Amino acid sequence: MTLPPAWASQQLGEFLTAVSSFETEASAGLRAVERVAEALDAEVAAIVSRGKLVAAVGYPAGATPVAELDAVARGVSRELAVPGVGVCPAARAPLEHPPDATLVLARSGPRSLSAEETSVLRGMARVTSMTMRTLALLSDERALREEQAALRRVAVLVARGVPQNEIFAAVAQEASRLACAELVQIHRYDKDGSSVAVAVWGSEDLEVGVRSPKGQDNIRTTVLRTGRTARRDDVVGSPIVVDGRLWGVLIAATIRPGRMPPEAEARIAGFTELVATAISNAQTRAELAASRARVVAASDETRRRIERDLHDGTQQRLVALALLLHSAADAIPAELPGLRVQLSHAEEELQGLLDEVREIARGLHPAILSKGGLVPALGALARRSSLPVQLDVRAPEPLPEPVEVAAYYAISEALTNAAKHANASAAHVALEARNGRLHVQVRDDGVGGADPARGSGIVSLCDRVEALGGTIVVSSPPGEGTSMVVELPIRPRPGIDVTS
Amino acid sequence: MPSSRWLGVGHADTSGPDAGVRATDQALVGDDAKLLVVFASESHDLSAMVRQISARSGGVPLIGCTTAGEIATSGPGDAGVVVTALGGDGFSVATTVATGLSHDLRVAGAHAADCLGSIEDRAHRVLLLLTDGLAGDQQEIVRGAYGVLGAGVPIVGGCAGDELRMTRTSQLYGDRVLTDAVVAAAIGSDAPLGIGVRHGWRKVGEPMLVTRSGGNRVYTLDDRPALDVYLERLAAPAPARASQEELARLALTHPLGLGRRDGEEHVRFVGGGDFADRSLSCIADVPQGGLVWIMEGDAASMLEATDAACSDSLASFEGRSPLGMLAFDCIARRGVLGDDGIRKEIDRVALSAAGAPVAGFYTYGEIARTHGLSGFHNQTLVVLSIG
Ligand SMILES: Nc1ncnc2c1ncn2[C@@H]1O[C@H](COP(=O)(O)OP(=O)(O)OP(=O)(O)O)[C@@H](O)[C@H]1O
Ligand SMILES: [Mg+2]
Repeated sequence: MTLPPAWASQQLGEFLTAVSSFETEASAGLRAVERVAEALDAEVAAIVSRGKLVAAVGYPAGATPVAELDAVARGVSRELAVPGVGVCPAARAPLEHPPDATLVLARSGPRSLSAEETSVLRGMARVTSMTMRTLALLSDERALREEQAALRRVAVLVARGVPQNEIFAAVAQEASRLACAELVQIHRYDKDGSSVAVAVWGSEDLEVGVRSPKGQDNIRTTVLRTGRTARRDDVVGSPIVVDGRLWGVLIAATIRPGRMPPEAEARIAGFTELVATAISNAQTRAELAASRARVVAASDETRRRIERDLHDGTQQRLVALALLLHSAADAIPAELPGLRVQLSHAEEELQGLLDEVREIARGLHPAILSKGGLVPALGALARRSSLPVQLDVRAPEPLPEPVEVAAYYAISEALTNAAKHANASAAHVALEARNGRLHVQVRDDGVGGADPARGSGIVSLCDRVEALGGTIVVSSPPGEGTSMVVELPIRPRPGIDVTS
Repeated sequence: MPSSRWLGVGHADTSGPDAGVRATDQALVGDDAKLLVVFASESHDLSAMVRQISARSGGVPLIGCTTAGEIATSGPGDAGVVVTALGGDGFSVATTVATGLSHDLRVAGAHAADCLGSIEDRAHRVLLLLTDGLAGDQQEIVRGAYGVLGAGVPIVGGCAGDELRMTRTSQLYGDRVLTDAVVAAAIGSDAPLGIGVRHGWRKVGEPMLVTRSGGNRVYTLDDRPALDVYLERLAAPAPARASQEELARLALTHPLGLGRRDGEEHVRFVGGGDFADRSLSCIADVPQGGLVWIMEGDAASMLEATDAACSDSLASFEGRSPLGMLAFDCIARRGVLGDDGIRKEIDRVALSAAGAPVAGFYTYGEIARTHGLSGFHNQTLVVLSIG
């Protein structure tokens, strides 16, 4: 049997298009195996990673033979027994993501995959792994943003000096969401080894004020004994340390086994620090700022990692695939003009995807900063803006990285806002170091009326800037354009440690 | 001891108040009825009809739907009702319904397939689906059902009709009349259940690339407005370029074909065009990035496909005759064949059935998944032979 002309590129084209509608890594896996099975008329398609099933179709629900699929994935077996169909020849293609994953296929009938079909299978495997990887990174990024927003909400309560019990309650609720834990408790230890619940979220059998005895063996007592974070199955406890002394514990637990994410400890730790700040009597603004600085620094580190992953992984592979398609297009015989159009479309599609990934990576961390410093980074920012931007930069001395990053984010956000909301004809950026402070001003001649309460961009800038001991003033009278002035101390004030 | 199995088809052409009951009486040719399948014109008082049928049969599980014309052994008809009954200890049957289809087709498909779990294990099994074809991409239903059943159970059926008004179709379940639903019957049998799928269209000219489409709408082909390309390729006469009606007439015999691995294209019925934005609207999803051909067919090629679908459905019968045949026949084939042609077509199906009864209806889309995962068709005849 011969395949219709241009069949392979058609299948890949359809697949690429379908892939762009996938939403989460898990649904992408399932949708991808379905599409692979449809394209190749296969009964079974599955993704197996390190002996575990990622997605499969072709078996009755709940009856997927993971070990048999894994044997094909590892090359140990070349056929699969498909219930109701019989023994089918199997094929496989490696996936670059999830780690050590393989796409496995089984099709009834006498013919095994032709060379053309095998290349389609491999192409689909590449597209699938890139998609799943990108989606995994995006969900990391989303989680990070949620985490920061939650921490910020609690930080605001702490800064306002609301009563401690309200802060404890807020922390319990936010921690429950972030750690995917239905049950959250905060306990204060007493000298005799017993403890008192000061916040309870999700449990009916414990109330605030109830005392738990000493001497039991559980997470609460383990943290008391070791002073460290502890985890047992689906329960995590993180110590609350106030002024160098173990004060209490934040415990998060899930009732759905296996649902507590591995990063739950790290997420909860951020809260325990805020709780500690709220408790500490030496609750000065400076301390609060320092703890916010640590939050910002930690999230910058995560951003950098995601950016690196996107850049070194997904983006490089997309570029390679684009090049491949390009050279394939060159090799198409003249009598197949349709195929040429087709490939150039796939190329465009891919280019779009690549731009998107670049855009995301860029928003995450200004990689260009680590390469050439602030001045060239601002040049690139101005060039990329859809508004004409006038740059007026006077910053002779080398600036500490947190200051550079904050200035960069501030200018980037202001320019984005000017392009997005202001309906302006131009923007102006001035940057100057004077008397040990960095002065940044971004102005536009647009409609004005900016309101931080309507978005998250300006609010999170405040966080970043105030964490460094700086100030930010947005003035935006309706009809008179918008100006944002940021001032940052170039050397951190003593007592604020932004690195630890 | 061989198990007993029977199948009967009853038919009433009028829409009188007792039409459903009369058809049911004819269909119930044995004891121990396990399932009733009702294909009815929407001109009936459907609620009253299903209540009466259920009362008469003593609550035998019932699924059914409205049609764009009914098919019985004696031939095609309109405004009638056709009832199929099957029973005997050689069959086991379970039925289910999923509503809110357009909300989540995949979940509905999975739910519909759940009924297979409640029938006894038999050598041969099939999932029969009757769906609201106006609810969205029907392949999603097939995917949902496949996720539950796996490759071992074929899926067959059709999308309900409303006499070409294309506004609202009904699905019947027990004594309920629903819309935006899928009704399902899992049938297990000691004897073979065979499926045939054929369309009888052939490709004309060079393939075109779908450069922009969304859902059932095709905006551009080869980067040019889809309607213009389509009209040009067909050298359409002036009236078809200005009148919706004339365009629909031309489109009826010129669907689009999507290339498949096995060379048996998936045919997409062109429902009409938008003279303002120059797009084409199709009855099912035409994926962007795919290649399509304009197809053409005539009465002769349609009838060849009829014969082939029937004999494919009997391939596993080893020469034995079936107890009966169910036909899901695309409404657009009816358009191509004409009144005379559809009579010939059903005569040929009856001939293949070798005296066994025939039931079916004219559909807005056909479902047949036998190998692989693709299972939604257009402009196709699907035949289920029950042994
Ligand atoms: N330069 C500007 N000119 C006019 N309106 C502005 C300007 N900058 C901000 N705004 C208004 O103020 C609101 C808040 O801005 P902010 O940057 O905090 O959020 P955003 O831009 O809407 O979303 P994001 O979280 O993506 O930044 C905007 O929604 C917009 O209505
Ligand atoms: Mg903004």
